Amino acid sequence: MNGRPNITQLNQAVAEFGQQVSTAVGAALHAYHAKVASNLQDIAEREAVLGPAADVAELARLRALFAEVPGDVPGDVPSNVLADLPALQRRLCQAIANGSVDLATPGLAEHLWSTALDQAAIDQPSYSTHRRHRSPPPAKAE
Amino acid sequence: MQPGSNDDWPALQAMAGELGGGQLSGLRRLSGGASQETWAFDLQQPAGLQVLVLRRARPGRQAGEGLGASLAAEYALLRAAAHAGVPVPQARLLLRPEHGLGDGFVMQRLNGETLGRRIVADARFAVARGGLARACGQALARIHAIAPSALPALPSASAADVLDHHQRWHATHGTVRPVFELALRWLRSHVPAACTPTLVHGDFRNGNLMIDERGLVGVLDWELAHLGDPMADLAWLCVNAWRFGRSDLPVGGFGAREDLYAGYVEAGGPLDEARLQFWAVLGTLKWGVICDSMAQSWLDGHDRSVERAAIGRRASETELDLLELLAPRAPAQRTRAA
Repeated sequence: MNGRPNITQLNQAVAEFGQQVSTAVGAALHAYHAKVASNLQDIAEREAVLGPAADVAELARLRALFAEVPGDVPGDVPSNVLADLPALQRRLCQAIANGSVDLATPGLAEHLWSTALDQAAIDQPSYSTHRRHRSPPPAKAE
Repeated sequence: MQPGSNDDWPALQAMAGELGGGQLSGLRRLSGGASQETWAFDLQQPAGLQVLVLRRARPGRQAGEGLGASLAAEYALLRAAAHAGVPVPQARLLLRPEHGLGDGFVMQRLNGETLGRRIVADARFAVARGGLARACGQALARIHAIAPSALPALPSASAADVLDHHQRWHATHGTVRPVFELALRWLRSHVPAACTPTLVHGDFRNGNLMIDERGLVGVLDWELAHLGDPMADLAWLCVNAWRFGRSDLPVGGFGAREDLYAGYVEAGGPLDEARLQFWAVLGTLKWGVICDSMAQSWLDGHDRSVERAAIGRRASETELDLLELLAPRAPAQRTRAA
């Protein structure tokens, strides 16, 4: 997962907003900010529920991806499974940037889509592109 | 009232003499950016009420920092745009030192709606929405046809310049985004050849347009205008981020691409599909980098509003939008009713 701000920071933003009630500049603006804060709480909750499994899946896909890359340095088997995730994410960035991995690499497109959709499921599940690829519309015509 | 406004009142009243005089009233701040501020005010005159806007450099700040037009250039752009048949507020008066109000200008205050989600969803704009994409195309063609030689000096940015800028900016955030790297690779290998420097609006999107029930009333916010590739303006208008929930209508959430392009071509605009695709990808990436920069400013403590924190979490939307452009795949299938 790559949410920025992270879940702790989101909760902090909500707490800071809660302390600002007495200095609100106007009722309408405050109400709007309250909605934003509530949305952040929802994101933090969804991340708590969905995040861990998404991280495990992302890590598995990244390891599979690098197992297939020719000339790749074989990695150590990590004792802490998830400590590997940020390092592999950075490695993927470098591999894409230097061209050693691209859309012709088996599994890359699927990995990027799955990771982005899992992130959107946390950040904004109602986002049009997420809905289109994860939650098919009802069979009834709109 | 903002600090400074009471001090400015006599200066404003004096300047109003050049606008036909009358009693000054209704002074209020409309918005304030880092380096500019926008005020509304009215002049009660025998012929009626004149409703006006003052745009000026924030006292103590250099006007025109960064890429984009100085205030004097904005004024000249508004006049040139009006002359070219683009709907814009009428530019009324360029401030001079003797006005004692700093750098800036006065323009007509238009009446209409600028909130993107209302433009996209309100029933009273249904008819206006029907012709809006075409009207945007026509307006853009007319903007792009304004000869740079008729304008004051503006910053210039080629496709390569804009790509370099966003690549560097993304690197300063240190965010780990494989999809952004994919987009940067694709963009590097698809940089269009330099085109004749053309006036571009620089931020033509739903959010900077004023409409009413009849249609497009004004093209606003010219501060990012510069010389560059006109396809950038067309592509920016279609970025998914400002379709306000109507992704099925690529043009600002209110219209179809065919209508935008038809309006553009019929008003003489030179459409280039290959360059459009480049700018669609770069525009989408740009919004993602902006989201990261907003998260950065929250993390750094420059702006601790909940809004900044929240926008940081919208970067994932742009990753999906980039994948749609670069690695499209079939949507999820409808499930059959049991």
